[in-house]
Amino acid sequence: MIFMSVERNELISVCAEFSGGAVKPVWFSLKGRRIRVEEIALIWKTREGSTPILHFSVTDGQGLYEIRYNTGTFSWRLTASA
Amino acid sequence: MNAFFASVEQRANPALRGKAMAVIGSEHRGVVLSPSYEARAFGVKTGMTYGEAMRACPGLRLVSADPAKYSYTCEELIGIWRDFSPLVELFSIDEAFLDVTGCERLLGDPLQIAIRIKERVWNEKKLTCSIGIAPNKLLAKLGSDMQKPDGLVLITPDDIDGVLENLPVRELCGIGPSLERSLAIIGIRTCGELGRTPLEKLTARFGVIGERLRDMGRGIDDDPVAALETEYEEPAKSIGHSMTLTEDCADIALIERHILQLAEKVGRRLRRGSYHGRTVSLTLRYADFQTFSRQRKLFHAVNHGLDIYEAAREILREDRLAQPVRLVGVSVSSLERDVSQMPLFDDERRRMFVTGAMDEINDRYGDFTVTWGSLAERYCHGRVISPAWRPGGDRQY
Repeated sequence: MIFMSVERNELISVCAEFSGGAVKPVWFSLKGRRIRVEEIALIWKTREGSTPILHFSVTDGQGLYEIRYNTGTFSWRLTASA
Repeated sequence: MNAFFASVEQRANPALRGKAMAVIGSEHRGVVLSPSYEARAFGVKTGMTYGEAMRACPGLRLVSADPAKYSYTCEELIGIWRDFSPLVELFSIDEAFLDVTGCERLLGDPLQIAIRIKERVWNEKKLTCSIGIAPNKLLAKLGSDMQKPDGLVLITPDDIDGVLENLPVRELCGIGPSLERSLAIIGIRTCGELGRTPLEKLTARFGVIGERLRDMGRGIDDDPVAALETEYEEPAKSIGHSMTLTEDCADIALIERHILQLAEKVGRRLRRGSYHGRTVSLTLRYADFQTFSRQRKLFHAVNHGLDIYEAAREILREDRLAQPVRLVGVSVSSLERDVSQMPLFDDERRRMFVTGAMDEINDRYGDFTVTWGSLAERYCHGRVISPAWRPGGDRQY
């Protein structure tokens, strides 16, 4: 079987644009490497209690990453990669 | 929507676009939920096991279902559909009925509206959909199934007889394999034959649904499009949750812990909707899919997880398990709404206040933030779409 991603849960540093009520990750650091976001493939929202969580499926042209932004704690996490 | 889960995953992962891939229930068990159209070309179908799917398409790429993506995308699609009609009825997470009666002067005729919907869904979500335009929901659903993917079928009143005459009855929404076999026994195989069958013959064989079946055969459906909001006005008849376990389980202590977790979820929803219930039901499905439900009538109506758990646990302990269990479900019925009164005794009053405080914390920080110690290692069940899911958040009860 070929599964497409591996679940992760790592706190990461992200450079993001906040503009017009939208959030757009530009790059993030992973193990000392800067990963530039080339395409935001999908954005979706969930909730943890009353806190909205924004999820982004992004690519750097080679790998696929799912990162999430907790709007309550202003923190970013890498949740999956492929 | 066409191959909805698979299409959303293809949007989320550019490497999957144009590839044979399928969304599956989970990595541990489950079946193919949604194959992409590229996979369907190899014969991969919904409901296949992994093994069957991989044999049909050896290079098939598999993705575990991520319901949060699909439910959020569905909410965004509803936003698009509502720009065309206030009457949107969600039929499933990827199907909806729109009543565009009266929208013609503003938005054009139904065909123009359908084309604009398809354009917006593609431009904004990069997803395709098949639309059926017809005088009622039965025929609109039929039309949407006639041309996939990315179809558009118009069935006018003049077309109905021609479309239905030789159409197998199973093509109609609501006629499944069992009903199809029953109809075949009395010589009915096509919608045309169904529509011409005398009503007496159908009611003698099928009872009260006989008239409905004859109407279906004639393309008649008076069921109106029910806007999403109207659903919230109807009181619940029962409230329940179930979970398919990662592995079949014969450990009673572990099954009881799952029951406690489900009872807590059911209790939370009962309290949110100001419900109490007098009947607690436990459903177990064995490894061979044999399923049974037993229920217990309580003297008092309850809405506390612990009361529900104790009743369900008693049911569990009545018999020995015949086999390992693959699914556990707990529900509460015989519901009463807004009948609670302030407890007379200190113990009960304290429990009510503690439960209220726990509910507030869990509302704010997420379910099970504060819960029983035995649920600290609870079963994580994030890979299903809860029956309570509704656009804009779970149903409030």
